[in-house]
Amino acid sequence: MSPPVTPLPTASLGELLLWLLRRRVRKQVTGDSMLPTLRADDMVLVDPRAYRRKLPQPDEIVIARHPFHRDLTIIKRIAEITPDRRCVLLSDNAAAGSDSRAFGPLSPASIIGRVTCRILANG
Amino acid sequence: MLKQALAKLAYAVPADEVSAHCDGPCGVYDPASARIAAEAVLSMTKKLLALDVPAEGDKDAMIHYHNTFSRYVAIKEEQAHIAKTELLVLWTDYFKPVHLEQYPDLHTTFWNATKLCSSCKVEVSLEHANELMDAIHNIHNIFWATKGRDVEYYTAS
Repeated sequence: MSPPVTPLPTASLGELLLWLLRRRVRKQVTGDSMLPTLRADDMVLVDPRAYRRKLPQPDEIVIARHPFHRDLTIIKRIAEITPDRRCVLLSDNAAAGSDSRAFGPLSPASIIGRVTCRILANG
Repeated sequence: MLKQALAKLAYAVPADEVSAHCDGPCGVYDPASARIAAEAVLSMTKKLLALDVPAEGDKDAMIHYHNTFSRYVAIKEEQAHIAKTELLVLWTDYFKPVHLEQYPDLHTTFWNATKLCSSCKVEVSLEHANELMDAIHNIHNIFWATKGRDVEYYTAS
């Protein structure tokens, strides 16, 4: 049985205002590897400045550049930080494949931003 | 009220995509693509071995022979490379450490299979082309077993 995953909060007014102020960017999810946290077509807000002054932390959901497909941006959860400060990214959906189990840990430079919340269609 | 209006706006406008695909960008793996390429290698190998050398002095027959020979070799080369690429993608992208625990000789299996692709390029060897087909049959069995599915192996020819 897979360990429970931390749910992603829904967008607060503050987060939505930060988006209006261009401090958050919107991204739309494709695929099912982040189930049950995120479904295909879910809309999320990302803080691209999150890791300017601090390193990514375990349990945070991030978007990152795929190491082998440079034009592909992936969304995964940080499972752990290795002793050499690289990020092990895993899918919430344990049955899914393409994550650090396949491509190894990523350098923090590959992490584009932290996913802060999910936007609900009805607010 | 403001929050709902903003959320609706933020949801409605299309955004750039981030991929949470299960198995890489396309999400589809099947050893059948390697098998089809390997079958083409086997077919070209058989055709090359069956080609009759034309009589000396028959220019037209010689041109036809060299053209056909070259085409068969080119297709064999191309399809062997496709088979190798398809196998490498399966090996590096689909298979995970948990599968290695289940199949401890997985690395050797793929290493030998991809080396057979190389042999089929370098040589015109019916033996190695058949061995490549056998290796892919074995990988077919391992692959579908890891997915818990009983998928019957078949060949197109």
